[in-house]
Formats: sequence, structure tokens, C-alpha cells
Amino acid sequence: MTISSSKLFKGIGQIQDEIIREFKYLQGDREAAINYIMEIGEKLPPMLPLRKTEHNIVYGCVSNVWLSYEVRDGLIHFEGDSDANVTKGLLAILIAILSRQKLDAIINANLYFITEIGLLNYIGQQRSFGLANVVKHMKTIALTEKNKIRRRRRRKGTV
Amino acid sequence: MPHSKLDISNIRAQFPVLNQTVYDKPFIYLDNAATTQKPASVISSTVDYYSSYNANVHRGIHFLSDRSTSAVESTRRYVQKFINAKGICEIIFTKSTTDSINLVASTYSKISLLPGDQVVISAMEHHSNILPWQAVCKEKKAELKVIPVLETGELDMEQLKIMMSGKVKIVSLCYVSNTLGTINPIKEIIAIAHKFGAVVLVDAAQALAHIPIDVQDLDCDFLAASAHKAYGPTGVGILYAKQKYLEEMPPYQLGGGMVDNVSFNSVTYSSIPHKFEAGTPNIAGIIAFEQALKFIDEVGFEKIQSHESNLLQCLLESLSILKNVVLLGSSIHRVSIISMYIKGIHSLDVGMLLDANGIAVRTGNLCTQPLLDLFKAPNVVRISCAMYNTEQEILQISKKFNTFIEKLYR
Repeated sequence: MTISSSKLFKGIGQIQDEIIREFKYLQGDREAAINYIMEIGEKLPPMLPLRKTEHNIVYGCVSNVWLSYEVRDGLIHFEGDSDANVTKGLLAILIAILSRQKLDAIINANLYFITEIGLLNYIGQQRSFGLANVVKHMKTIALTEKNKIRRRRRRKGTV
Repeated sequence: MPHSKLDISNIRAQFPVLNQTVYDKPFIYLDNAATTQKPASVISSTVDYYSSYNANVHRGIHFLSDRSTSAVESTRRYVQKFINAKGICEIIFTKSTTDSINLVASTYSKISLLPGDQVVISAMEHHSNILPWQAVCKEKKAELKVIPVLETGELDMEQLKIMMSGKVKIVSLCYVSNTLGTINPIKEIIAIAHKFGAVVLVDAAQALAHIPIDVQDLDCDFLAASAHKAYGPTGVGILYAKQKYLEEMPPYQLGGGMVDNVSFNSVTYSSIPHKFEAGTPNIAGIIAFEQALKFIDEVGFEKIQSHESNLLQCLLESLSILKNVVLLGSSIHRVSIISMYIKGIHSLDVGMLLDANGIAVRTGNLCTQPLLDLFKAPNVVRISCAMYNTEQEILQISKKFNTFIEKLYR
């Protein structure tokens, strides 16, 4: 998947539309779609072993999934890894969409690309639950960071 | 005399589910260790039951209940004959192998296990034959001992002999490993266990459809199996137990159907087998199960074993030449089950790619996490055959594996 390096200026919707266009080329070919997702996963930078902690595990996934993040300049930068390539591919797609976005944009993100490309049909029931868990995890992270900011402002008396 | 061959086209024609495409590809079902497909006779038995004589069993006096009760008891007689049990009262219907094992673990331990006693299982057991024993050992302060498994995928019989002592009260082992396909020398193990006064439960879930079972010849004390792994419906299991144990064991579940007299202060339980059959059973399933066993008998174990042995050979030959493929275990005594992994590809990814080609296999830890830990295989792909699989299907799956490996290692 060619995720443009100028993604910083692209909204969640724009990135999803790119993904939908990429998947349209596959014309519903299941094996091609799975291979494509795996190829995307191969390009996901591996997570450092020391970051693969219990705290960073996303539970409820059929393979091992780790998700961590950093906050830089008020934006969340997600990092993820898995021992299964299809899962890595799904992580890479979600990270491409939700990383480096504003907190409210992540919390309120409508991930319509999932339905548009028929992703749940490709990955099956079990992995769909896992995917939902990862999305929930990412949104929870954004919400947690938002609450931290609110508390900081309250302490400073700026709210 | 050469075995006469199984008529594969005729067999396949009797399994309607096989006649379909999945994602526009011919459907290839190689997940039979998880559950087998059902012949038309089993399916039509279920339809016939609900259309013609659905009624609760053992308690009614009207025509329909009489007919359904007779049909259930007919299955019980057929199971008795199928595994050569001495008495019909030694056949209990349960929900599954898991249910049968839990029944024995829960009730037999009440009359047999004391603190310091030992229960022996093996490292190749399914979780259903580990966890109930783990729980009763904890409750009774008994010790759970585990027979090691060799790299060949066979039990370490030397260690087994060392482990046996007067402290061992229960041995619970699989006849056939659901992960390795290994057929264990169960008769020999039972003889050893009996010398030390231990009873033996045989988990025959993976054996019932593939190996003729004679419980008197084996001399096992308990045997558990599932209908759905022997071309029968889900929700039906069997527990064979020697009459003397069933008479001593307290009931497992309490309720209707297993009592003779009830007041608020006292109860008299029914005689065996009904003592262990509380509540309304899966009547349709039990009745259909007889059709499944009849189907196996009509094809014949000789032909089934010959055919499945050919499939196993075909599997071994085609997989062992592939680079970067690791097969778990190498026992020559096995049914047509192989678990393997391709180095560098998670089994889930392999499973998904096979599925995209219409091929159904099982992936993951196969409910045998301790065994996979032993083989240092965090997850595997399992191919498990049944009488309706063909060599062409095996060659097709090998071809696909080759494609994945070539793509990965290009």
C-alpha cells in the first residue's frame, strides 16, 4: 500500500478513501486481498522486543498483538506488531488511518472503509472480533490522553 | 488377501455438504478431527424424528414417546455392539467426550481419590483430558503426573513404567492424539495400570471413526467418545464404564429422568445407565447417531483404514519434500492426522490462504497447548482426513503449500 509521506495533512476520511481505491483493484479476489493485506503487514516496522510488554498486549485477538503509542506535539503516534502477517497488515492499515491524527478525530473516527471493502468477509468472524478490539484499544488510548489533558488544564485552572 | 477398495464416489455422494463450492473453488474439507461431515442417512434421521415422532423419552406412555424411547435405546444397543461392551447398562449418553471425561473425573474421584494419590495423564492430551483432572487433583490434594512424549510423537513408555506405582489411582489417556495422530498402545498401558490397581479412562474421540474398538479386549475401565467425530450429530457423547464402577459412582447431575422416588427430604436414584442421564437428552442426535455407526459398519473398518492409510501416505510423501515445513511427530502408528507449520508463516495466515482456496483445515493450538510447547510450535496447521477425502485433495493442498513457500522464500 502506498501511504504517502504527506499523510500528515490527510484526514481520516482521505486515507480511508485511498485504501478503498486500492482494494477496488483486487475486484473481490479473496486470495489476492489476503496476500495484499499480508504484503502491507510485511512493511510494518517491527516493534522492539522490549516494547512487547504485557501492558501493550491487545487481548481478544486470535494471534499475538501488541500496540503502543507515543504522544508527540499533541498527536498520537501508534506502533503495532503481531506474529501473524495478516494481523500485521490490519494493524498497518489502522495505524496509517489513525496515527498522527487529533485526539477527537480518533475518538470519533467512523472507519467506513471496513464495510466498503468488505474487510470482515475477508478476515472472518474471529479476526473481526480482534479487529474491533484493536480499534477499541486505539480509541481508548486517545480518550485516555484527552482525559489527561483535561486534568492538566483543570489543575492549572485553565478549564 | 488385498483389501477391497472403498467406493469413494459413492461415499462422497452420500455427504451433501461436500457438493459445494467455497468462494467459487471446489470445497475441500480436511478438518475432520474437529468434526466430521454427516451422511444423508444421519441428516434424514433428524428430519424424520422431528417430523414424525418427536416426544420426550423414558417418561411418557403415549405412542410417540414409546417410539422415541425405543429409538434411543436402539442406539444404546448399537453402541454397545459397536464397541463390544458387555452390558447395555454400561453405555451412558452424554453431551460429548468432554462431558464424559468431566463426569468420570467428578464422580469417580469422589470414591477413589485421597490426598497423596496420583492421577496420570500424558503430555499429548487435549485440554478436555487435562483440565478436569487438574481440578479434581487440586480439590482432593492429589498429584497430577504427566507421561512425557518423545520427539517421534509417541508416549515415553519407559517413563510410564517408572511412573506407575500403588499411588496411581487413575490413568487417563487418548487412544489417538488429535494433534499428532499417534495411536497409543492403549491395551498395553491398561495392562500395566491394572497391575498397580489403577483404573484407565480412554479418550477415544479421535479413534471411534477410524479404529475398531473392543472395550472388553482393551479391558479399559472407562471410554469416552463423541458422535460428531464419527459422522454423527453434535451434542451427543458416549461414556462406556464397567458396571461395577457405575454402580459405585454417585450421580453427576441431578434432576428429572434419573430418579425413582423424590420427596423434599429424600431421593432414590434410578439404576444405571439412567442414573447418569439427568434431564432431556439430545434425543434426535442420539437416534441419528445409530445411523452414523451403521454407515461406518456398512463401509467397513477394513476399507476405511486402508483408504485413510493411503491418504496418510500421500500426505506424508507430499509434505515431507517441501522445504521449510516442519511436521510434528513421526510415529508409524497413526491415523490420517498431520500437524505442521511452515517456517516464517503464522498458521493463521496459512489457514486463511487455504480457506481462500476453498480448503478447510484447523489452525492454532488445537486445544493441546502443553504439547505444542513441547514441540516448540506456538501454532500449527492440522490436516485431518476422513473416509470421504481423496488423494487429489491431498495433492491440491500440498500444491498450495508449495505456492505459499515459493512466494515467501522467493
